[in-house]
Amino acid sequence: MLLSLYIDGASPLHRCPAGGKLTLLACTGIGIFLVSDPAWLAALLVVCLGLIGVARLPPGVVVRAVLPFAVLIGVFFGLHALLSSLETAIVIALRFGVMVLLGLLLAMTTRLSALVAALETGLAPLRLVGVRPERAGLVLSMTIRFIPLVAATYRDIAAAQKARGLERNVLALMVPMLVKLLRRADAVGDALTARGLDD
Amino acid sequence: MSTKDLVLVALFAALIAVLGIFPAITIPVLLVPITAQTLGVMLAGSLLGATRGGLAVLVFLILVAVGLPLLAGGRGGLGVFGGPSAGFLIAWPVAAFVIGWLTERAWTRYGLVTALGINLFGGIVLIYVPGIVWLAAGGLGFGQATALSSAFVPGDVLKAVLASLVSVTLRRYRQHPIAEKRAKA
Repeated sequence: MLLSLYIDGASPLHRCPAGGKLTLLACTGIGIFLVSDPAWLAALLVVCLGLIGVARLPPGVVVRAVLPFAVLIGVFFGLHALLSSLETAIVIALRFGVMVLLGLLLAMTTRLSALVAALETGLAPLRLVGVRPERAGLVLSMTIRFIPLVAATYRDIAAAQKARGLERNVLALMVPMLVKLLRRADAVGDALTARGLDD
Repeated sequence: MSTKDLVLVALFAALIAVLGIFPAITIPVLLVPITAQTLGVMLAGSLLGATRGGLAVLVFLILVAVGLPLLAGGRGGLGVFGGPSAGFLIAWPVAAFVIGWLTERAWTRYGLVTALGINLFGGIVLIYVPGIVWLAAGGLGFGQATALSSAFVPGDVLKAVLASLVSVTLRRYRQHPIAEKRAKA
C-alpha cells in the first residue's frame, strides 16, 4: 500500500526545508481567497506548473494524482457556470486547481518523515496549552505506520468472514475488527511504556 | 493523555483512512463522493469518547492537509480544505467530539435508541449544517446546496445505524475505552 507520494529527486524544491514549504503552502491557502481576479489566479496556476517542471516530477505521475480532483473541479465549474456566473466558475476552478497543484508539489518533493518533523516543530507553540509536541509527532508517525496495519487486519477479517459466508454482514466485519484494534492498542501502549515513553 | 490514549487516537485515525479504501462512489452530478469514512468518524466518537475521538479525526485531517491521499478516491492536500466539500470535512472532528461527549453522558443507559439518536444528530445534523452553509457560501445558494447534499442523507443514515449497532454490541466489552476511562475515574 503506497501512502507517500514522495518522488526522489535533487531539485531546488526537494532541497527546500519541509517547514518552509509547509508554511508557504498554508499562507497561500489563506491568501488565495483574497484574490478574485482570474488573470492573477491563472498566472499563479502557470507558476505552479512551472514549479512542477523545476521539481522535474514525471508528468504521468502528476496527471494521475490530479485526476481524482479533475472530475470534482470540472463538475463544480459546470455547476457554477450554470447557476451563478462564468467568472465565478473560472475563479473557483482556478483557486481549487492552484491549491491541488501546490499540495501535490509539497507531497511529491518532501519525505514523510521530514513532514512529520516539520509538523512537530510547528506544533511547539501548543506547549503553552499543555500539548507536548513530541507526543503529537508520535501520534502522527504512529498513524502513518498503523494505516497499512489496519488495512491488513481489515483484509484478514474480511477473508475469514467470507469463508463463513458472512461477506455481506458489515457487523460481522466491524465488531471483530474493532475488538482487534482495541487489543492492539493495549499491546502497543505497553510496548511504548516499556521503552520509556510513559505518561 | 496516557500513552495508550495516544495509541488509540492513532489507531482510529488509521481506521478512518482505511475506511476510505471502501469503494467510493462518485456520482457525477454530486460534488462530494460517498464514502465509508463518516462511519469512522461516528465510531471514533462512540468508542473513544469526546477528547480522544475528536483528536483521532483531527489527526486524520492533519495528515490529509499535508498531502497524504487518504480521503476517499485518493484525494489529499490543503486544496480539499478550500474545495466544495470543505465544510463537511471541517465538521468531522466536531461531530466526533460531540458524539463522544453525548455517548459518555448517556453511558449508563446506552442502548440502540440512544446510540441511534446520538449518531444521527452528530453524524448527520452536525456535519450537514456546516457542509451546506459552506456550499451555499461558495455561490450556490441554500436551496441548491441543500438539494445536492440531501442525496447523501440515505447513505449517512445507513452509516449511523451501522455505527450504533456496532457500538451497542461493543458496549459491554471489557476493554471499551469509555468503560475503561469510567473505571479509572
